[in-house]
Amino acid sequence: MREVIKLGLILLLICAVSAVVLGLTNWLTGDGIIEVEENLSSEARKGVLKLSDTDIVKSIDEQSLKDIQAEYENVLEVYEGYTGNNLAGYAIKTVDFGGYAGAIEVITGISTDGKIISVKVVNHKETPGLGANITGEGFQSQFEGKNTQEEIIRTKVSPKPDSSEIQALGGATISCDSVIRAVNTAREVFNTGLLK
Amino acid sequence: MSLLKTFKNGIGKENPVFVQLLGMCPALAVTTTAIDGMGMGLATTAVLLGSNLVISLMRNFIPDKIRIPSFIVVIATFVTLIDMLMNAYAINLYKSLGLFIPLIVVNCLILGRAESFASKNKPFKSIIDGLGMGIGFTLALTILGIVRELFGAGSVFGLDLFGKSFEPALIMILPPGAFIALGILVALLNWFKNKKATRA
Repeated sequence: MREVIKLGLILLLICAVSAVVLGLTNWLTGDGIIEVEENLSSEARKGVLKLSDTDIVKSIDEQSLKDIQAEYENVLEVYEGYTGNNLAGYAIKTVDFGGYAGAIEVITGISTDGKIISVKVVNHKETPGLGANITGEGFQSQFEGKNTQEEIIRTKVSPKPDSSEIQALGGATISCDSVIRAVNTAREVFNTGLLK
Repeated sequence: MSLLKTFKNGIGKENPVFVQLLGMCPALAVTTTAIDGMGMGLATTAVLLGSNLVISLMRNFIPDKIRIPSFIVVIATFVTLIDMLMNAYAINLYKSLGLFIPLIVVNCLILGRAESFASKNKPFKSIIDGLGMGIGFTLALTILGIVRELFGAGSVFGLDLFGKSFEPALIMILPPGAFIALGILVALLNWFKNKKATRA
């Protein structure tokens, strides 16, 4: 009996030291992590709208976001981007759960005149070297300039010019389809909710 | 065993992946590209150095009966520590490696070295052992990554080698390719070793 207590206490001591070390580190890095993540998201939002550092990007008001989310549950964030005082476009973050290895989060930048400015995959768990290539420039740049009125469709061959087709990456059709669904959600949100 | 021998042990004679077949989960799962394999190897090396040092320092304090849970706590602490520090101060590295960091906790290589080396040897020697094993692990993962990336995607370290006409064997990047590549590499190594032994 005494030995059990002794062993238990030693284990408790080891865990307590570990908890203190981790607690301290968390306290030291916590703010830094939030700041770094925030900077990264803000850069991504400006990136998809092709805005410069001095331009302002801000979230739409909470009620409007809730209204949109009531209709489209896969919408995570909607931001407005301004150049000077003029509304330049929207950065819409959507998620699709049909990736090869879980959820894929995509930010779609859409200009006020209904063109996709650019698309960025911000979070995914796809296979490195295969599905993970959806973050590559070659795939993402295909979305640029597409009209939001037309549904984006996946093709396995070279897309027709001036169409709304996106060519899937070889061996990564599921990942590509998931990204396309996420972009289509953003497109619909823009068409029905934001285009006034 | 001399320090140099301890160091070289992990790289060649007792290579964790190719000889001991330890740490198979990361060796198979994250070696789809050379750079991922190397990153995983380096992150593991960092944890291995830390855990070997601390466990060696605590080796007379931890009772035998609870050594495994104690080791796991130490290892998990180091992994979480590295996870938070990288997230705060090396965000780009974290973005590409973040997925693998939590996997290190369950890497049996680290527990194996804690159990069979650090808990029986002095701190400095344990660090040398961790360094040797870490480098051996990193080398093995990088080689595996190079082979799989070369045949599965036609590139090495992201550098396209064959141009557009090359039709990559996708299977090498998919999970079966990991087993095939590892099996062939281990077989080749054993073949060389046997040949050397019979000649000598």
